[in-house]
Amino acid sequence: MSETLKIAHIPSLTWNRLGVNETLVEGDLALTGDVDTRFETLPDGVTSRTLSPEEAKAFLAEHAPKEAPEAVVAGKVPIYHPQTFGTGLGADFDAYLAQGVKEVTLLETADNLTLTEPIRWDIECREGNHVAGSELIHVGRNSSLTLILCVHSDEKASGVFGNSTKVILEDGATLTLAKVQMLGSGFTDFEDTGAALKDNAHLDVIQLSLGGKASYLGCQSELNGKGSTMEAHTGYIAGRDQTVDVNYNTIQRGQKTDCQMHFDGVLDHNGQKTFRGTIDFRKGAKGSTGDEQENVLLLSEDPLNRTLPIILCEEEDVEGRHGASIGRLEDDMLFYLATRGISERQAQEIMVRARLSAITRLIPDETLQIDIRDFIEDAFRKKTLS
Amino acid sequence: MEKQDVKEVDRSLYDFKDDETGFYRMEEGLTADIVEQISEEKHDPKWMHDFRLKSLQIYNELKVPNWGPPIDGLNMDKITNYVRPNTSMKGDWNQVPDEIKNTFEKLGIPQAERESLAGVGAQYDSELVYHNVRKEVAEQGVVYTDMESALTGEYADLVEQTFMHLVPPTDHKFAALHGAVWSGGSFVYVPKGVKVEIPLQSYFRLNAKGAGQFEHTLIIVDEGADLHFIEGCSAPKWNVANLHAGCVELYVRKGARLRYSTIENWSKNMYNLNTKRALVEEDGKMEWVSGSFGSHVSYLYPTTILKGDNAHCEYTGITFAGEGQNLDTGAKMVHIGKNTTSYINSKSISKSGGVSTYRSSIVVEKSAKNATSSVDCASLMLDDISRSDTIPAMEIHTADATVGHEAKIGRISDEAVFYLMSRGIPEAEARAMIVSGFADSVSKELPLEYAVEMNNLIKLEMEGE
Repeated sequence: MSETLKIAHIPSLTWNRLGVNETLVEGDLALTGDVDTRFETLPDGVTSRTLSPEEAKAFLAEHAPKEAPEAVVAGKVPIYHPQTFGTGLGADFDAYLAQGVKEVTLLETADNLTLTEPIRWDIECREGNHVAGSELIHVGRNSSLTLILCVHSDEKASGVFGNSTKVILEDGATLTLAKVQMLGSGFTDFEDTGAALKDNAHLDVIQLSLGGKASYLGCQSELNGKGSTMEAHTGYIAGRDQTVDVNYNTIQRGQKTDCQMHFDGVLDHNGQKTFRGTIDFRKGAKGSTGDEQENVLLLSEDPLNRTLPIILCEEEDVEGRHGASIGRLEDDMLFYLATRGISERQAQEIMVRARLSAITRLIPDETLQIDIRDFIEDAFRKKTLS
Repeated sequence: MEKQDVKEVDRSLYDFKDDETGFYRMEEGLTADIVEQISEEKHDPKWMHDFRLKSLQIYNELKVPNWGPPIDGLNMDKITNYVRPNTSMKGDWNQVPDEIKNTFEKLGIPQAERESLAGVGAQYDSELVYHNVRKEVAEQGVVYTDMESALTGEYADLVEQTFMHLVPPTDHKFAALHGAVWSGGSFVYVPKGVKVEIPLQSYFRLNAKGAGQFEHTLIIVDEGADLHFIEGCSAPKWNVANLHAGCVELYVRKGARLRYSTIENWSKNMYNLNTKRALVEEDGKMEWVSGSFGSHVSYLYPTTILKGDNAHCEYTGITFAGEGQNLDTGAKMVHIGKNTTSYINSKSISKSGGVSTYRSSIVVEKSAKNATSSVDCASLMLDDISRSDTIPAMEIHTADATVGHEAKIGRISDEAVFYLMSRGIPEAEARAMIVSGFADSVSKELPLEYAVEMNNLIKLEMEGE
């Protein structure tokens, strides 16, 4: 059954003809079930239980920041997409996910718990799967947790995979959340994240989108507590017949908050990518800083790159910055490498590996790092990339 | 000396009102009858009459933008779309009625004409009241006239072939409005190879309460020619909405150069929904210099289409949003030709509850091989009741391009203020100096007297510190 999803809204609209205000996803997206999110073993101090969607909603409502809709973006024609707990893909995605998700996994840590080993969750999708998962992550005071979510399938498999991760970080809590997508060439992937951070909490988001036909990545981090910080490192490949759509939004409400967002991607053949990244300084975020940087390497004649880095600011005492660099490899670099016997194609491959490796190395799992490198090499071999 | 300059600036320089006795004021609202009346009033050729009615139809079909500052306070049923002053256009200031002439004297236009301009057009409400070009410039073949004369003059065919071709009425609702009710403005043609050494200037004054001004500026700089055109505008403040929906279309032919400078100081009850667009051919250069200080709401994004190979454009702009102002400004660049280059340097300042938004789009088409675009925008927040947003978009269709973007937002550095104060400069003055320095990259692009005016406007806005 064909349906249309409207996702990845930006908080302040721009010209409609640019096609970046939101993303329309059409096709046979109907979800038929949820993925098994039970963890086999969990470290001491970490618990997992399932909640009904209603229980999950009530849990989130308790932790969601309270905000009048009028405060969304002052000074513009108002747009509302009310959502109980903000995420990058938005309320419509929540409603869509509810078709397939019958239970939500709640992963919680005790207070004052420092885990040295990551918790890894692998999802194996099969041909024709239209499945979804949803999890709540609640990290207790002064605890730290690393969670790795990896979804993969056979290289030719088709289907739909949707996942939502909603994160609550108590005072002083730290979460490293790594999401890796290595799906087959016919998959449509939705990866959504929402996070609310209390005082001095820290969130690291590491995200790699490598496979699939179309990937929709969303992340909204709300730095509510004083001194809360967020760092994101996101990488993607949009090669032959691939689409990547990114919407990251960081709302900074607390004093002395900081966000650092880095995006590195490669576009080849007819690959298409839309990137939206917003830093939203709200009144009261005194002493806060925010920076977002996007680097896009274009390898072919036919890519479509859309970039929209937004800064919204209603606080004087802040420093916000964004930068974008979009283009091919510079001629002097190619010349330098050519003098050392490296062809243009080899140089491109080196640069792709270098960009994505820098993100891969941040994932604290050597086995997964090897899998990711193999996946990238496969992309070269299968000509998804040049 | 600097202090004296601050004190000499008086808001009454712009905010004074003239009597409308003897003026012709059309009824409020926008209907086919009103458009017909304007067309009749202007003695339009048939194609223009039909064009107006078609534009009205498009206006009625299009929606207001859903993405910018709210314009709920603009009720088109309460706007008077045509006000004719009590004079026809003159070529000698002495023939202009005293009250209108005094208005332009206060604004310094005749003096500027004598000292530093090649020609001047002065519009008052809906019509030009004065238009003149220096003899030696006219002898070079430069045509500088009002739009109405151009419709039927020597270049009538050229006007018909170009009028609202760059900005078609279908572009957006207020372009359609302009197509329906436009009146006044200037037509400039600079022949091949002619370099106009000193600028031409058009000044637009909207005096009438609750009225709209819809001047059309059409400039064609032919192959290898060179022109600097300056546009100024102001209005007294009324307690009802006024509307400015002008349209500027610029054609920069092969190897030509055009600099278009604007110091906009509309009153703070003005909705400034203006559209400016340039088409640049091979080896042509377009330069925009833009200072936005006035109006209640502004939507202003000069657009440049770099069609020819090696075409180049620079946009340098500053926006100062103070109390009660919501100014949404920026630029658009469309790269089509090979080796095209564009550079945007934008500054914005928000103060006393003002909202300033920098908005831009860079589109690099597949054909624009080896295109380069660079955007640099900086925003300054002067207090915590104001707002400053940056919304730049880039759309790239070829790998054979280099696009860079840098933006930053912040406040005046305490260290810089402290440094100046430690040298005996009072805090308010120190802050004003820092803001002027922030705007320096724009003011240095303007002719001296306009840079002084811009700096005075900044100081005036900073006086409430």
